[in-house]
Amino acid sequence: MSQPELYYAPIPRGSGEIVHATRGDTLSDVLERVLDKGVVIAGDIAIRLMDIELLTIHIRLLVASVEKAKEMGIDWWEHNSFLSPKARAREESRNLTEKEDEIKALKERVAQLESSCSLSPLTAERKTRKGRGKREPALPSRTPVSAE
Amino acid sequence: MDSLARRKEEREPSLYYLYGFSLTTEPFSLQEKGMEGENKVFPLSYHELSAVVSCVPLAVYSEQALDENLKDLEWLTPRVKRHEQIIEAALQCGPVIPVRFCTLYRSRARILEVLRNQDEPFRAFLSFVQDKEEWGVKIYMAAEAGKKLVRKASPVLQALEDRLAAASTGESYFLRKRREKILRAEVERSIEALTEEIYTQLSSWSVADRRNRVLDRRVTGRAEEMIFNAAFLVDKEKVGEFVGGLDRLAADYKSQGLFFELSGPWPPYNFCPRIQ
Repeated sequence: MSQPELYYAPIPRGSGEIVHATRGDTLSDVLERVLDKGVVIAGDIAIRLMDIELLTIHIRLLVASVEKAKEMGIDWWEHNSFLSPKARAREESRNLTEKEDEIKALKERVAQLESSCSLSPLTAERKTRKGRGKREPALPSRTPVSAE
Repeated sequence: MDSLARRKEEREPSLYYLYGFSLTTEPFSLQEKGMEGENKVFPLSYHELSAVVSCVPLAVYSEQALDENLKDLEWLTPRVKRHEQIIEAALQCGPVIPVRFCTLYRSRARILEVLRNQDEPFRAFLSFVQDKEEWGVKIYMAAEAGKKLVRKASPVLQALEDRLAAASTGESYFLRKRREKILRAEVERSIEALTEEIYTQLSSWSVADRRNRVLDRRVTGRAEEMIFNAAFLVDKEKVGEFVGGLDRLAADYKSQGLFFELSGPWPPYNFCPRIQ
């Protein structure tokens, strides 16, 4: 009872064609069981578990990135929004600023185009219709439909 | 509960975290500490059935706190592992029914109520799994293996291939689309037949079996696609036969681009009794 490791042994050995993973090896195996299997009894606290698949993907990405980052001496995960609410808030405010900038740039571009473009909305529409009509003969199956 | 423990509980409101059920009625304390690494894990017994529990702070496991905590991977990951470690430690004292992550109770009385209600089915299940182990089998398929398998055997596809060779540019576009569709369906059919065959074979070496959904490549982190995911309840005495048989299957299917992965032994997560 003192050594949980005892339970791992003895692991039956095959001829080596199969890959044998002990339970500790694969996080997705543990998650699949602990979060998704086991006996389900109503407790006194209602819980909402994240979708296991989504969760594992996030963890895998996280682990992979942490390992890579460690190799490279980077500590980006402190800024990862999945890890800390503070980082999430920072990211949200950054996203908002980026979006605001984008909207501002787009508005400027629209104004620029409007002033440089002499077409009235009416001629613009006519032009579009003409363009569409031109393509129609290329698709014979559609001709009877447009004729109706 | 002695008065000292009661006073402590009043000072720091806590919940009971339930890990699993066991047949051990002897008071035991696992060397493993509970979820938060502070409080000991102990059995709460009713007749010959025990609930394996530890106290956890309400501040961390209340509904509101869990709403946030369960989304936080840094919080969640070590606790999922801890949950499994504690169940494994409890297995050293005999068979265990593992309980799903974060099953919490406000009082001992509530847990005793569960024990009273499930006494008979749980004890029956525990004595059933006493000499059995759960093993997980996953099969992966090399990227092009499925297509090769199908192309060899399909006259429909071959006919389409011949037409495609003589087709004009416009026609070949639609023929290619059709080929893709037929090919996908045929790959799926051949995988289904293949895995069903393997499943039947593995089931014959086990007491109970359960097929689970295959996991996405992003979950497995492998280049090969998972085509089979199942759990088997195997007699401890027959584990050698099971693993040997699996090994022979792996050797047989290797040339077809299939890779077998075995995990275990696990507590019987996949074979727990359903509670009505």
